[in-house]
Amino acid sequence: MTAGGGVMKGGVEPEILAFRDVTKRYVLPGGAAFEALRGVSIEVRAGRVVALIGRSGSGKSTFLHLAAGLDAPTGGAIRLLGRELAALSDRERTLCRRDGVGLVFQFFHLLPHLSVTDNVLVPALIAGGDLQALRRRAEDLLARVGLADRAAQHVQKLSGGEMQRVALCRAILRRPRLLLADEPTGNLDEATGQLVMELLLGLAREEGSALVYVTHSRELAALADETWRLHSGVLEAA
Amino acid sequence: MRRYFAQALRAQLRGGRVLFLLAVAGVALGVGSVLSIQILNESALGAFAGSVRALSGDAQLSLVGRGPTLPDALLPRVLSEHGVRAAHPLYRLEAALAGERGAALEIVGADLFAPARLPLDLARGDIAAVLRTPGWVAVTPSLAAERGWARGARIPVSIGSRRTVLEVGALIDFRQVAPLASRRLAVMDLAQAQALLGEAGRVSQIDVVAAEGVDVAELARRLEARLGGDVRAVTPEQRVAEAGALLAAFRLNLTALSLVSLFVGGFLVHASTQAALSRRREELGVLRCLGATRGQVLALVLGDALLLGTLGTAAGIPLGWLVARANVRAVSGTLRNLYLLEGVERVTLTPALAGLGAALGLAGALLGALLPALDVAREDPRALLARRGDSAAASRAPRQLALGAALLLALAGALAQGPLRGWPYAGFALALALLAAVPLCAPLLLRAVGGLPAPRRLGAAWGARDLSAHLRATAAAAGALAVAVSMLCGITVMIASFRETVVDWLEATLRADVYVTTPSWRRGQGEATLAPEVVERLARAEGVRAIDRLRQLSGEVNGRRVAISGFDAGPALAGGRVQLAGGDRAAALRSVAREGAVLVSEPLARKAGISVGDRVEIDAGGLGGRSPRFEVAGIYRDYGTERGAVLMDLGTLEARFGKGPLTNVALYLAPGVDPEVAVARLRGAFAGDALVVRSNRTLRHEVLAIFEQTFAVTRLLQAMSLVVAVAGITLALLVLARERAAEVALLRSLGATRLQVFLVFLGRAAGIALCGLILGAAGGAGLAVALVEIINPAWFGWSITLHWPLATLARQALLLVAAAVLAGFYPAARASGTPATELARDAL
Repeated sequence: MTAGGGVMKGGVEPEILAFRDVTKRYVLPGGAAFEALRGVSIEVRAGRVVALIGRSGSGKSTFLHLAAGLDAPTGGAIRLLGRELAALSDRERTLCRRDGVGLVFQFFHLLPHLSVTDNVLVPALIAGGDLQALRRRAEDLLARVGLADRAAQHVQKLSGGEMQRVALCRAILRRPRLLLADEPTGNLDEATGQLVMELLLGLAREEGSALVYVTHSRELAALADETWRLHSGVLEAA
Repeated sequence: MRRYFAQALRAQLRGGRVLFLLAVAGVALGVGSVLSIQILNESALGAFAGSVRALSGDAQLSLVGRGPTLPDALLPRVLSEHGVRAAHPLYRLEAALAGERGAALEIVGADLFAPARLPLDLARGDIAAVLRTPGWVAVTPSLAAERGWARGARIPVSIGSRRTVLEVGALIDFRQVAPLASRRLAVMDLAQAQALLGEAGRVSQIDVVAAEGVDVAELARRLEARLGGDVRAVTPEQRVAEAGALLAAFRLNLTALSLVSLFVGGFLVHASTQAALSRRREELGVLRCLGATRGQVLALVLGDALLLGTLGTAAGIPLGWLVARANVRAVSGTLRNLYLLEGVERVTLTPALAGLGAALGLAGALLGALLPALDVAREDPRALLARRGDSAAASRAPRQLALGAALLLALAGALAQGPLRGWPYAGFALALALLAAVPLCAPLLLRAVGGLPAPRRLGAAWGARDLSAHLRATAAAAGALAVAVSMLCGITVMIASFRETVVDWLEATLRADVYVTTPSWRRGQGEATLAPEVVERLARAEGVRAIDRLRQLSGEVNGRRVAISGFDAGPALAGGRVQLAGGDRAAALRSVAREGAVLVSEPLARKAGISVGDRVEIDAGGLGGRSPRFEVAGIYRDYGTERGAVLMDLGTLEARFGKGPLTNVALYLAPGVDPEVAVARLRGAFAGDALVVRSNRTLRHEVLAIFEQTFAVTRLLQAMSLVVAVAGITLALLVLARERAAEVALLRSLGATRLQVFLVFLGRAAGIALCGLILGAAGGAGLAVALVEIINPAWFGWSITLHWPLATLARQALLLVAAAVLAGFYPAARASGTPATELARDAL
């Protein structure tokens, strides 16, 4: 693997995500340009857990957005699940994300009008499929994160930690091969954050998903197989 | 995704019932408005077509004269024509029911013994009674039930100034064969009708049943050639089409006005969808992040709109029917008084019309939601997840939108004055461009309000100024209101201008003290005349100084059915009683009084393309197809009928069309005689004659009452679109109350009182109303000019002098602001109840 021009070791597992010399430039109001990512190259293989640290504005979220196909790079290439994102249409990128990527947000982004179970089931409602089977899986996932008894409740009644656990179940429901988590504990207290992180890592490993997560915490970063730092848009080994 | 749609919809309905219902109400009012007009339009034609069908039955052709009647001696020649299987003469006339102003029987004299001709089942005894009983008449069951007539009931009626009595001999239910047929149709034996009431030997039409396999068009040509130029052969479809053409302007005008309500309703859907989408940005962002495609998001949003449209349509269709039913009388009055057609007695909602209502409601809702739906579907999922306000995105748009509006108007104006000049729809295109341009300027105006100096305290002024920060929600409401106000203002100015013009016209033309005619004159044909001895007695009556005479016939000019009037031209023209819109007064006076020239009414001149100096052929029948030609000496103003009329000297009329009785007389009283006293005296003296005697003042009142009746539906449409627009204000403010709950909570947590928050929202309501008023006033002024200067002359043929009823407009403006502020009460109350804790909840 390479990062910021450096060389990274590769694994034997199949490649899930690969950035090659990726640059992302934003044009600010007034015409000035801002480079959020500069020549980033990284490879994530199946089952690996990667932590990404860095200061605010260092490009961490941009990295995740590009990885999920939510945004397109200014330069370089990104391969997700074996497909070059640049070659895909918007619809194809969307379907690639739907079928292969699970997203966890800092602010949970649960749908307040739905119950806990229904929130977990939203990806199934979007993609279709055997809803009964997925419902059973949702119940199973909720049991694994300790929310079996809250399944029928509305999410507004949950605490922050419980909400993020629901979001974890939603992200993993359709067994994505890549989990992307943007500061999943950023909105939680330390103890709750630790618990959520352990659950996230546990679920990812049990399901065999690769996981890339962004965090400010060195302690949480240490839980990953490998940790990378983004500094002014440049990716370097931490 | 369908399952998710159902879940999300339930949540939407739980969370925004009032918003949803307001949008549904907007669609319902829009659909109701358009549908009611379409029902009335269809019923207007349906009534005419129903009567044609009821009387003509299976006849493929009707032979009609260019004047009111034909000689019945034509019948053997018709029957002997190859291809004619049967021919049925009909004699039609209008008989006024005694003792009730405006009530009449549409009498049809027919051959009652023709087999299966009319839905009348006469027993053998009845046939004898028909022949034996003078005035035997069959009336419709519904009219008999309404008036309590049984067989043998005697009905006093009048035709012209003659009184007579009919006797109900049977019931005839035309609605068996034509559901929309007039219930005022009554059937008599042909010979009795001719002898008792009309002219012996004359008929109104001869219905022809063609033999099987005969080419009807070819038969029509042969019959016209054989019977001479006085006779026209027309199919029932042609007769209905002629009535349709006559009503075209009336129908189009109402349809255009009703569409404005739908347009405003569409705005409401637009505002409601934007409101819903503002609330759902995060939800849609999550869905997109989780893999929902843009198409799925679009379908989700449009699905909501479709449901909203379906509910609105479901409510709008019965509403339209109710509104149509409530306006039958007004429309019927217009049809009878202005167009001399059959009045509408009942309205029918056909499946086709219900389908039209549904299509319009659903299309309106989908179109209203389409732009916001496309916007949100196109948006980046990350942008949807980010909680952004709308001002940043909208900040660039106001100037561009206003520029677009200016370009649209400039283009429409240039086209209307340039290549499209003279195209009848040019005025409507300009009006439409105006109504489209007005709301486009709303964001710029709201932004300008936002640039006003900040008030020193939180309150109403702060709320009004703050509107510019929420353009997405407020601009649509201000725009919708501006459209409705434009329509209100434009129509108000147009009606006031029309009214003033008519008042001036009445002032100039009605100079006599007392007017005398017969109850059936207005809609009668040649038979509604004053007996000569009645005229003589009127001239000699106590207190009468002089009389003006008028004789009216019906005929054709350039294939258009018109009224031909002979009057004492010299004194009338010299006294300015005829207002000329074209031609030199002195020369016209000379030509009409001495040289046998004619004056042509403005509507006829415009529609038939007649100018001063032209020669026109006037056909009033009875001259064996030889139509006399007349020089047009002038174009005169006439607001009495849109059909068209020709005026000539009475001497000219008699010389060209033969002598005949008068139809109207105007009396000039000796100085000091009170007209009302004179009217009372004349009514007493002429109690044995069927006369309508009215003073000048009464006649003016009646003319203006008919005028008001003509615009009753218009006013209703105005009111409906305003209700929709004011509902839009409530909707916009509810959106703000919901969307900005965190902002309100912040204000509350910083110490703002409930009253202050309440006033902020009332200020917003007033601000939206004022913006709507300012833009609406500008749009309304433009619309008024388009209506008065372009649409009315092009479609109705009348020229109208522009008049600005400032006091009425000011009153309407005050009322509107008050309504808008009231519309703000509920959202203001909701917003002021927002607890400071909403700040925390916003983080979910």
